[in-house]
Amino acid sequence: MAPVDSWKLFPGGADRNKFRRKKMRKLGILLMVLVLALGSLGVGYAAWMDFVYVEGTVETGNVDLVVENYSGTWVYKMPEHGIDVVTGWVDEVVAPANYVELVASAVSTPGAGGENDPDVVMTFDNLFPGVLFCADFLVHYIGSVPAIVDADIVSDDEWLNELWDEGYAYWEAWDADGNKIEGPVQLHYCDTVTVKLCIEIPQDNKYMNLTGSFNGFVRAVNWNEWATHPID
Amino acid sequence: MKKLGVICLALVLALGSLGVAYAAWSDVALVEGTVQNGSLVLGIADCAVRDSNAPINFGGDYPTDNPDQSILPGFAGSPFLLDKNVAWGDCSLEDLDGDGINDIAYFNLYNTYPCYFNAFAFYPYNAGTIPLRINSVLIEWEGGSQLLTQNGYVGMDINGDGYDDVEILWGDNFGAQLHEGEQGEISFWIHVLQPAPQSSTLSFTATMMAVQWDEYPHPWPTTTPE
Repeated sequence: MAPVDSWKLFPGGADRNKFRRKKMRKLGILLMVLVLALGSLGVGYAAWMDFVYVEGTVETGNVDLVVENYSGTWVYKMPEHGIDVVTGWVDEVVAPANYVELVASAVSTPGAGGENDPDVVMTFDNLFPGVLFCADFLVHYIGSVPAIVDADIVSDDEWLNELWDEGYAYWEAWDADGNKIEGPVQLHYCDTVTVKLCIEIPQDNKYMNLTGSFNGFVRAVNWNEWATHPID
Repeated sequence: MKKLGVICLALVLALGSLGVAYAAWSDVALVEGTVQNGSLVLGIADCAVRDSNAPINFGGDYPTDNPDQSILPGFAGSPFLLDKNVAWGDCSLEDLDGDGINDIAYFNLYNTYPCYFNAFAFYPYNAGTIPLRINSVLIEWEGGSQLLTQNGYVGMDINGDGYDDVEILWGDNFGAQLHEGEQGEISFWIHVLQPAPQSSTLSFTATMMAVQWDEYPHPWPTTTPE
């Protein structure tokens, strides 16, 4: 027996699938209208969710050098044929009594930034043979991260480089205990280093009336990076 | 049939007008329904820091016990030990809404310097009743943000100088499913980069989103719910 075509029982003999499609289309339109209506009312449509929060802070330390004291050499003409060479910290030194005139000097002074500025101006003025002119400055390390400190001085003036090469000009560094420092040194918070630059003019007339300049630096690099940051 | 219907209707109306009740035998069964919704709650059970060892004599010679670690930029290779203990970190949890469930983990690093490396971990757990899945993490800092839906690298220029100061490598467990009471581990590496400013506090936040298990993956909402 052939199966009863029950779809034909629907009014007007319409196909049931066609009927269902029509119905679904209406339902879809209704849902869309509902969603749009909710949206227009500002009603959110989202899944359940929850959040946890992480707050992170990174406080960085610092590498910081300051220069805290300055020294120099002062050469005074004393009565008759006398000479008095005075050395010491700038704020402590006292000129000798009865001096005739200040003939020559080598002095470290703060840079444009003033006291505690890491810049230092070193002035060697009216130098002459027979006296060792030295100027110092005291470097105080106040960074919280250990650092390696190194230094270098360069000049474009040939005669200064000659003095340097022949040992008439040199610089030295000393730690707080008076030990001479050879090469780069590791500093921790509050360590100090005294850096001294000395020049002695040889007995040679060719060094008269010369003017020269040099540039130098004392550099601190956090200790773990020093090896990978050579001096340029 | 139409005629019969009209007669019935007329009969009902006539009886009604006489005040005579007309009803079939009947009984009523009442239905009372309750719907108890589950809850989707993500909490934090604990947190940990790889290097939490503060230096014994801060500002001194930083002895080599528990030395710091470093790693190459971009997290290339494995972390390696340095020779000093200079920087350190800590973490803590807080219950923001007083429901007894920690919602936020604070991670702090102190006295850091370029190349310093540390790693953080926290342990989210399902404090609700609906299974959930770790969906995504939004990392934000002043001037930037990055959404992670899988393990990822984030470089953060926090001071806005055009160079990344800190980098993060966010770890695993995206998509991890947690049932009620279950917990997982989320970790990330953090590395201070050369352009990091000295004597500064660099801050960032990470908001981790979980959704019910059958909604994963889910886009980040346009407004973050409370």
